[in-house]
Amino acid sequence: MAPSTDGTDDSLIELRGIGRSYNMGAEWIYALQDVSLKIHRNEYVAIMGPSGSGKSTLMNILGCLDTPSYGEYYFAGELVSAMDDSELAAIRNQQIGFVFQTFNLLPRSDALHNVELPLIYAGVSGAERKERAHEALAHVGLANRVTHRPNELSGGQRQRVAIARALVTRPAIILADEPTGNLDSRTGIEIMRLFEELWTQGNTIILVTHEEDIARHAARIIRVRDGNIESDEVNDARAMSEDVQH
Amino acid sequence: MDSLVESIKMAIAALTANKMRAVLTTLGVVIGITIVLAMGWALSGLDAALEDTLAIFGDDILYVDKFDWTGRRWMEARNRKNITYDQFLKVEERLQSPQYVIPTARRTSLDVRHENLQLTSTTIMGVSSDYNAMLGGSMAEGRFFNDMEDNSGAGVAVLGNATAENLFPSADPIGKRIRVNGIPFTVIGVMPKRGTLGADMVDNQILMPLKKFFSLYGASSRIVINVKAGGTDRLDEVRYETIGVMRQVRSLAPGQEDDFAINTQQAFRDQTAQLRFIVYGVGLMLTGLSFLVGSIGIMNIMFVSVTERTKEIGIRKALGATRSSILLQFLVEAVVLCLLGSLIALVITSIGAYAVSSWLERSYELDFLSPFIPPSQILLAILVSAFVGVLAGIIPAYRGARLDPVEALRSE
Repeated sequence: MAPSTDGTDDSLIELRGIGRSYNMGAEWIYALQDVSLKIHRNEYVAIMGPSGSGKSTLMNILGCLDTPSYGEYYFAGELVSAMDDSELAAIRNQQIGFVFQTFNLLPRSDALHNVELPLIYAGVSGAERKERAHEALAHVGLANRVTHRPNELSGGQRQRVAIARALVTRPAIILADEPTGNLDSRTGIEIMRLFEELWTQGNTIILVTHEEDIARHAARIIRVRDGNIESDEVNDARAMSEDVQH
Repeated sequence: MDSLVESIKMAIAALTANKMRAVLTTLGVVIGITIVLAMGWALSGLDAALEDTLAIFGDDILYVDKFDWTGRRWMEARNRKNITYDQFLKVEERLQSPQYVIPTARRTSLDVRHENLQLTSTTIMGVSSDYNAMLGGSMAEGRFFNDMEDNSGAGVAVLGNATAENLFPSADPIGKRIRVNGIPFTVIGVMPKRGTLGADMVDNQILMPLKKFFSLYGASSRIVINVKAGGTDRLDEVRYETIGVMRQVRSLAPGQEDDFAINTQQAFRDQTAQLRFIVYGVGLMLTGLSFLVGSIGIMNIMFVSVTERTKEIGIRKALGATRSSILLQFLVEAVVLCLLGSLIALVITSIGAYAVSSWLERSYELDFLSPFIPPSQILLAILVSAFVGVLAGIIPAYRGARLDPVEALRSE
């Protein structure tokens, strides 16, 4: 079913009145209530909120890992909230690149195989897969760590492998959930610098965090509280510092 | 196709990561397949031995006796009159269709001697001179007795292969003297080895002219008439004629039942078929049972595997794995496990088959068991175990496939 076009823009992501509720035994949890937003290509957005605010739920819905209880989710003009499991899997595979707080690499596989994995599910052939995986790892500066297993890599390196994995299918958005949460501050800065580079190169980045410092790297901050959007604003601090630099 | 190769690689990686567990899990399958293979191997060997045994009876020979050799109506048969030599003569005269009609009589002697060696249980067969011709005509040594010796009831004996070996372990028996129940005989020939498994009695006999047999045991000894049809296609025709002639010779009235039996190799075959069916049935049950146990083991470990890797499943789903990919991955793992089990079983059974077969041949000269497992059975075992793998793996794999990715990612 084609979405109704407002005629105003071609947003990459549009949420209309999204809500998500869970049934936990006798109680109902209303994780998200009536959330609406739009995100365009090449935006750098941070979704911020304390724990329990619903930001994780919002991220899961944006990442097509979870389906909303009500409302509509349009991704690149298609109604995602009505899709079945294999269609959602295809979107996760090709349009979305996840970066997790705990890296979530396969422990028994080396870096190359980890980065290859999305391409395997995309049905890409062996030779091309390896080439693209090498490319992605080189892009994040790990060309010489290709055969290392996760337990042979530092935290920062693991996260870079995860980022390479997120990039390898050339997705529409990169969805990062507390990407520096398990890293020391210095490594954290390096990783945020990498995200900055990726944004400059044209990627769309959505950051989910509860830390103010991290959120301030983004160009736009959406604050979530108690299942609702509290505010949705351009990040002045960033805009200002950019001005200063110029 | 690629994803199948990937799944296989991932399955092997998962198994090598925990080799001990993999081997233990497959124990049930190993036992099941070992039983299947061993049973198949033994049965095919026994079948071969059975064929050898039945071949001794000749597939185109009718044995006309007052007894039915499959044991039917034995009580009644005991009371019947023996078939006599006179009756044989009449039958031989009247039968037109068969190739050979030969009288045989049999007893057991407890006293067969040569010099200081004594055999305490030997079958004594009184036959006519064309008996060996009916069997195919070959001799291991010497010759069979001829018409003249037959008619005169000469004291000549042809030894069965085992009897010859027992009485003359080092010397050549031809021309030597033996005594049967005190009566002297000259050995003129040795029969070739004819038996295998249970039919070695056929090598443990002494053949003599029927007339001489009568002089030892009396002329009213029970006769079994061997009628060779000259081809299995002629059996029915010859049987028909034989029954008719026998009824005449035994003076049976039209309504009366036969007071004799026509025994054939086929009758035995049918009997043993029943036995084989039972043995196969029991074997199959045992196999089924151990497969059940084995597949429970596999299913169990697959559940554990899925649970342990819940997070991994979540990650894969986040990266775009569909439910069917996850299903395939774990199904392949279960199948690889089962194939591993059958490989182990194959090695065990092959070693066992070779060892047992060699030992039997060395110690007992029994060669009916092949030292190798036939490839068709190996293939069957592999297919069956793959099937068991799919069956055992499907439920855990399905569970894994249906995990909610958000929940799965949250788990430890």
